[in-house]
Amino acid sequence: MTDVENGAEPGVRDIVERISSGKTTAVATTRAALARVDALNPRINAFTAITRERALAEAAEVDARRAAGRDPGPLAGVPYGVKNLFDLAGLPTISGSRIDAERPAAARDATLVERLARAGAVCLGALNMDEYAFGFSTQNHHYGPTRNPHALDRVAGGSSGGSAAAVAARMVPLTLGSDTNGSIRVPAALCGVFGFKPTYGRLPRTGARLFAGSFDHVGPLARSVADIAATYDALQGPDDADPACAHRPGEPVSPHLGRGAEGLRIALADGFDASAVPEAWAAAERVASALGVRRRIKLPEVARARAAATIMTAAEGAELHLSDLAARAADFDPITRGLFLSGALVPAVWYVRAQRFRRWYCAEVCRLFGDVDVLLAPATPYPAFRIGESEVELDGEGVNASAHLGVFSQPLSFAGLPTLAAPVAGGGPLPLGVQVFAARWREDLVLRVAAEAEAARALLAPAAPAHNEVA
Amino acid sequence: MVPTSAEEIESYVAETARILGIRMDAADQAVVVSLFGLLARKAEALMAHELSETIDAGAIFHMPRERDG
Repeated sequence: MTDVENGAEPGVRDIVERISSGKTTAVATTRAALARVDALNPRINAFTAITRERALAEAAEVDARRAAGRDPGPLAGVPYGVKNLFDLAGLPTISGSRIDAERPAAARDATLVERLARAGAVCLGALNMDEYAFGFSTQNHHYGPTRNPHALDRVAGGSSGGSAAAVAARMVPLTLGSDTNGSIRVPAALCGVFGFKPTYGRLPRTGARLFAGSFDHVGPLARSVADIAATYDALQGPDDADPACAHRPGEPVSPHLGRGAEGLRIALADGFDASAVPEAWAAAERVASALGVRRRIKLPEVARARAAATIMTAAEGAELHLSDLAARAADFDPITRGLFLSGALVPAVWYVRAQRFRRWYCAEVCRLFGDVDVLLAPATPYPAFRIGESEVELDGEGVNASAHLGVFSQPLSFAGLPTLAAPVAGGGPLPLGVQVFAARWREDLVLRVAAEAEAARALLAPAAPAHNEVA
Repeated sequence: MVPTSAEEIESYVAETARILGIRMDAADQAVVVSLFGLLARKAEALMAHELSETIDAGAIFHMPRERDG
């Protein structure tokens, strides 16, 4: 059953089908999406800029292409938004900051935005985030918190919180985010949507503000595996302007989604040094059970991987902002100011040791995939906490509510592994997610297994109450 | 190599910030000392892990290219 038949807001493929077949137009679809953004954004605070004129012009171009008998593109008329660290021509790329809001407007779009435009997608605007992507909760001091569409008094997760909330609230069916230590996967899990971080180096970051260059990934958020796959296929391809982007041709995954998980070796990943609510593991175990998975595999040295990732991202991020930290520290978000200042003081030997450890860890993880194809793990240790809450109690001890959200995601991005965060069906009122991950460059396996779990109804992006109020 | 005691961290933070030209008020300094203390504990755990000297830190920067399958 399609989203439209199901009475829900249409997803990526539904929109493409309806526009390509002439059942509706891109302009009508865009107007409807803009109306939803206007109605919902005052409560959710996902969008920080709405590019109304641009959206309607792009939609008209899609309709014109179709009317002229030309292919309107694989994402024809799909409305989307981007985390506000992606360049959009004519807008300052604010990256959740006050400082960058003063910089000149971007002269051109980020590479991924150009690719989405070429595919026929329609850009509705820019989305809220933690300042400079340093955080897991999108409680932005300058632009306000993004609220979780499933419970407006709770965080959306971060740092791509606006990207996840906009999809969860059905404002748009598709967004782009960035992920350094979990910044696509954490908000996707807390908001009950799918968020995909491909292999490090797969998608170009040209025109996206970096947080920590040796960790930064970019990728899509949407409401189904097939929508993620269709978008990912349109985004792939080399880009010499990003030195980290691999010289690999596009390797489309959509044609493989129907192949199922038969014959794949799948296991639940263990070894995380992470306290978590029992429901977080129970969610991952439900997905494992739906796939008939009973095997567990221990990841090596996960706690040290997280330690090394924390040291390196703090140092790399601080180095990018050193001149502003020296000249105008008071203009930073108070939370990120402290994090960047402490990162600026990291001794070089810590950084280099962390980098050498990373080499060792990547080799160990690579070896692990000689014995297994796809692994599952919780996405976060708990569901969304209340806005303003600084600690969460686990096993009788308080943990930093925001920082601890990355315990399951950080060790995977540390090795650059392709990972999907997916919403697990059948839990409580607040969403929880599972991570599905594989060896580098095996995005196809990740999405095949996720498609199988989705077909078994173990994965589902639930409608949020905030969406129902408007629908 | 790794400042660990509260005094060592406080002194290290103040001196390194001065060298980098970063000025902090007392409130910021207290936050940074606390956060740097957390990083120091992570670094301590990391330094305790024995690594062969043949492991090349620079190699990681070539990770995304066509290597690794």
